[in-house]
Amino acid sequence: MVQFDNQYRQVKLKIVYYGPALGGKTTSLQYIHRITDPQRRTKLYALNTASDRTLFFDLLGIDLGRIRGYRLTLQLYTVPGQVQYNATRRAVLAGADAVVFVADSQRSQASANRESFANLFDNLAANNLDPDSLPLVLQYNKRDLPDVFGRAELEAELNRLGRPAYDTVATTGDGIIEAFAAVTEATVRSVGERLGIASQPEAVRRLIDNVRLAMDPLLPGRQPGSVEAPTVLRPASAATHLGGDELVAEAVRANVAMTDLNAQLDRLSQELARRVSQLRAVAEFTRAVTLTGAPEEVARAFLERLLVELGAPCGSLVLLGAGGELLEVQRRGLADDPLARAGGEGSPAALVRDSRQPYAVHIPDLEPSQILASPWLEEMSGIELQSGLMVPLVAHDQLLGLATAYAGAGRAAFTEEEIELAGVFAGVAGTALDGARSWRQLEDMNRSLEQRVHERTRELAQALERQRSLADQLEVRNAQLEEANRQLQELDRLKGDLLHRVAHELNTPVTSIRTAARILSKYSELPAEKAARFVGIIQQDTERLTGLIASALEAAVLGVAAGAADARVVGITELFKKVLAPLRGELGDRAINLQVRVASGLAQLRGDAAQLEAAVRAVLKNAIEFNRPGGSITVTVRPVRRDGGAFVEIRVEDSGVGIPADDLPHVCDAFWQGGNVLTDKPRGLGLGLAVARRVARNHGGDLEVTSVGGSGTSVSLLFAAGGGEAA
Amino acid sequence: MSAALAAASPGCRGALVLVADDEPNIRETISFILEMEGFQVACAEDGEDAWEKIVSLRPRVVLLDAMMPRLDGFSVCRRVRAGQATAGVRIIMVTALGQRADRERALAAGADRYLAKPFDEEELLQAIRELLAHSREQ
Repeated sequence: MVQFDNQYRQVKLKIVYYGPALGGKTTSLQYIHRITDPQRRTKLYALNTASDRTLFFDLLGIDLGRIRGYRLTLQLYTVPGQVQYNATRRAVLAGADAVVFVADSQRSQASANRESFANLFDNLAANNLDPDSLPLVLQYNKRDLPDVFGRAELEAELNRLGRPAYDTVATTGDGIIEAFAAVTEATVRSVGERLGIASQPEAVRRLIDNVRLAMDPLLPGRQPGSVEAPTVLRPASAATHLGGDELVAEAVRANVAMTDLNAQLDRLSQELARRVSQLRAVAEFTRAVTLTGAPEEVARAFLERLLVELGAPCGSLVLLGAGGELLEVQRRGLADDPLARAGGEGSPAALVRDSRQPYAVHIPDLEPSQILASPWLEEMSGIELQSGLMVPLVAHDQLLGLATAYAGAGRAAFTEEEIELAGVFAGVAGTALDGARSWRQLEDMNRSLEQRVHERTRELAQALERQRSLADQLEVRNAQLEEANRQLQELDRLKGDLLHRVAHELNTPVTSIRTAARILSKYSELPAEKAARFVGIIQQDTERLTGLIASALEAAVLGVAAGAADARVVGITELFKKVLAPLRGELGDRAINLQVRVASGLAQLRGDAAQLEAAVRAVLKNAIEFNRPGGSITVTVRPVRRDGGAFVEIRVEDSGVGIPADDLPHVCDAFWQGGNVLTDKPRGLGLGLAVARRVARNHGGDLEVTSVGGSGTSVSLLFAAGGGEAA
Repeated sequence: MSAALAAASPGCRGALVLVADDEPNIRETISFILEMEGFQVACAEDGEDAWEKIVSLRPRVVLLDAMMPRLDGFSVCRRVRAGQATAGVRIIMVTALGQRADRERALAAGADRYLAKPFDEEELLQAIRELLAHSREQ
């Protein structure tokens, strides 16, 4: 009787191993237990007598996988063979979905086989089970022993219904799996009809394949271990199987329930252990993908972890952009992945894209349109891929990618737990990938922002620099303008001063001359001495005018004749004689002591005699004019070197008032005079030093003035020793 | 105008005229002519000297050279006009340059007349007499 367990969404299929005592029922179950994938079965429970014989039953549960949301579980029972335990047998047989009759092949057991077989049919009838429709498989056991019946004899004796029968040796396992597979298939088919899946032969076949895969001892990592002793439970009911039928049935039911609970507990603790390990894997995975920074690394870590966790040898990852465009494909153990590529209507890829749920694919079931042929299939054939699993990477409801993992031949389809785990992985990876992409966008934005800030800063710095340089230029221009303006104002002032001085110098003697002349003509009766006085004034001022005109003409001539020095030998003594002669009177009047010192060996210089005289005279006149009465003038003539050139220096030092530092740069300007134009009595036209400098320059030299205000002035005339041909 | 006419003017005879000029030849010739024309004459050889003599001698007319040592003529003129006791002194400013700017400067400083060197002695005498006549009318 198919048992639906809605609480755990479980369908239990009950297969009872029936037969005479000591025929090999428990041994068969032990072998099945031994070679079954531990992930897929419960412990083997035994409710035994003290003599280690089956008291009530043995029980082994085997997981077949899910169908229509329900987990299909096989429950394998044995019954006690001894005749006296019939009530127990009947109770265990209740609700059976299939029976395996284990016959003892020994001739000595002929009657025990016969009695047990008849007893089976009695108990089937008692449990309202139809022997004609109930799947039944026979094991002719102990085929390795001597003195056994031939197969035909056993067939004739026990298999008049013509059910599948297998020669078995339970102690070695020979034929056990074949018999078990046969009864399972028959059971699943029978139950499948009742569950409405008979019309889905592929689903039925997959269930059966799962049974085979779960039990194939040849699979890698599935070497049968040593025989494991059944887990012995203390019977839950004190009732003895020797009691009345009702009582025994009650006891069996209680013990089945207890055993079931035990199995359930085992399952749950196994489940718990699996969950813990899954959680650990998820945590480790989360750590792995979230610690890797770049989106590509997250994707790579995800694919590698996924394949490791699923035990998948190969797989691929397709990464999609925001618009669903293909960004990147990563593959492991595959050159191509047509399953991921084939995205047509109804293809697994399309289903995953639409549902956003993991999707397990049984590759042999796929229609050719659902995969792409060629290289892939050839590649697949090498490793005989059975199962594929496609997992979507989703974040914020957006499909970021599609991962595919393939299980190699020799392992069952991906289990629910694996699919679930893959889904969790994909969820974590999706979030991590999304984060990594966002982070990269942020980084890119930040980089671009930094770049822009950098550029702007540089532009700003350049602009500031330009502005600064402009400001500097402006400042320089401004200073230049100010200087030019100052010079202009100075020139203007000089022009005004010059006019006043020249006018004063010229007009003052003219005024006295004119007035004196008017007196002489107007007052004819003047006394003689008075008339002589006015004539004297006329003469005096006429001379003064003549001197002024001469020096102006001299300056004009020399100024125009720049560079035209006539180079002749001029004796120094003669030069000073000529210059000093007209000045003696003035020197004497003012009691100024003049000394001329000429360096020994220096007797002459070369140049234009007239120019040299004018220059020396101008300097000496200045020294006299600005000296104090009773002062001194020292003239030194000597050879000197300046800037590598040989010169003759005529230095005139006076003990006069000196020249203020501000006026020094101007003393050689024509018509320039120190002091206040209105109150300082002009002394000539202010041409002397300008003339002297011109002469010095004409002779390849220059004029140098040093002065300390109040303590005298020193003027040096420098003439090139050769006479200034170079000038 | 003849010397006789000038001498005939009663207001002019004996009027004190101060000649302030740093040029001795100018002082000598001008003061000789003024004396010949019947004026009393005093001389000053620089600006400070002129100011002192204006204050102490109270001349009716001052012939004031613009360019003089120690204190220029313009400054002397401004002092004369600023002082209550001296404000009535008539001033003829003399400059070496007959430029309009100098003329304006002289008048701005308070000068009554302005003469540019070289001036004619008749021009000078005319100016003095007019100033004296004007002041007497006042």
